[in-house]
Amino acid sequence: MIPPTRWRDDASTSPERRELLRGAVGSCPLPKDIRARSAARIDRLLVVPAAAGLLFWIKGVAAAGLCAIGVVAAVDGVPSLTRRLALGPEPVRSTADRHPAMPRTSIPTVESTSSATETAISGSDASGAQREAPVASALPAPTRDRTRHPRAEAPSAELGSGDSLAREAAMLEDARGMLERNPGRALEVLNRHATTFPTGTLSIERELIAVDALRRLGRVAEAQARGMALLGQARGSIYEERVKALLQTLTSP
Amino acid sequence: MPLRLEAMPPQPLAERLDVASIHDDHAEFVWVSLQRLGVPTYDAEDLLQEVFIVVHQRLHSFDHSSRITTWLFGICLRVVSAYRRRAHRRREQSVAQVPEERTLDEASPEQAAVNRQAGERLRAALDLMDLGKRAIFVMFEIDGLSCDDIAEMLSVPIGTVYSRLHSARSDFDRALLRMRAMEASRLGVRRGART
Repeated sequence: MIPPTRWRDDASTSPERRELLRGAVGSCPLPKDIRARSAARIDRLLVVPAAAGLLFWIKGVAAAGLCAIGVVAAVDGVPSLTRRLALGPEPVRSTADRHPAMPRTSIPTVESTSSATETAISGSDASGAQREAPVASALPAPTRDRTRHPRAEAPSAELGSGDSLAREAAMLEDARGMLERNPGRALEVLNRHATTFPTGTLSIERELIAVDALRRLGRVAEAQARGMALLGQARGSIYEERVKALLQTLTSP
Repeated sequence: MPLRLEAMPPQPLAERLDVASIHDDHAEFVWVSLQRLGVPTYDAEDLLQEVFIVVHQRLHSFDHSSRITTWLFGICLRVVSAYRRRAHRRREQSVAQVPEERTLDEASPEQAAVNRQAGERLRAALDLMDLGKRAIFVMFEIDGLSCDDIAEMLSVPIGTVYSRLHSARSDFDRALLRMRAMEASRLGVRRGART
């Protein structure tokens, strides 16, 4: 087999072909900078599988975590939901939430109903944080305790205390609402509260509102007397400053 | 002076290849192959990268039954084919060619202009050819590789190279004829427009 001759060297070929091929520029070699850049990119390319593997590992861990959370939520949520459905609404919590303006530290725990006032007044380490503590934390929370069911175990006592506390709170809130527009009517409500709950949990709150109502009605002497009595009760407690400030408004012109 | 690439010895079957070593050994071959397939210099770097990405993805499928250069040339063919389709879709024309440096035999600006014009005609004719035939034609006629080198590089018998070269030459002649026809029709249109 005879090897072919290149057209540009072949005199027998057409001049057009020779002319075109003689001036042709051959392929140029790979420049060093392009080679270096390309090699660097190849190196990065080799890193990608490792990074992709790490990414898939992270995604797997995240998916497993989400599954675990889902299972826990399902296990935890189903009994809680059935309990809620069986119990119906929570009256105490909903009442307190309806009246957010009411000072919530004045609502003690139901278990210590009898000593609640003393605790509230004499608590020397009472702080602002305690003042701002949510009602739900101070009240018995039947849905929070998964081990025992408060209503099922002690239905009469705790339910009755919770209800009376809620009624006390509602009554005081009504009085507070009327204080500006109709202090006389507010005072009537407070007196009814004192009659209904002589050893009420919120008696200090009641007295504070009563002093304010008397001041607004212009019965300053009466307000001062009641205020001084309240100050004696509230000495050293979180109410002391409030009572003092209220008495100061009575003395100032 | 034509660039000659020495054909690499065949790889032992047991030898484990990785893309970095292939790049070190054969980046030059891929670069030159891309140019032989008609990729302009300004796009050659991107396509070089594309080829090695394919190498990285397909290395497991290389069974050592042929030379690595044959396998790489096949990848170059497919990558450039896709590139040409993309360029066709974008309706890009290769008008932004990098100006070639004047060679020593360019005695005058007129000669330089003639050479430039010849280069453009050659490129246009090659662009009309089939990719595989174009590569063989460029390897033999422009880069000056021998038929033996081409046969070794592409892992084909020497007779196949001869027949492919013959076919490529016919293709080139047909491309020249088509160009002449197109030029004649353009001239006819211009003359018609003047009259």
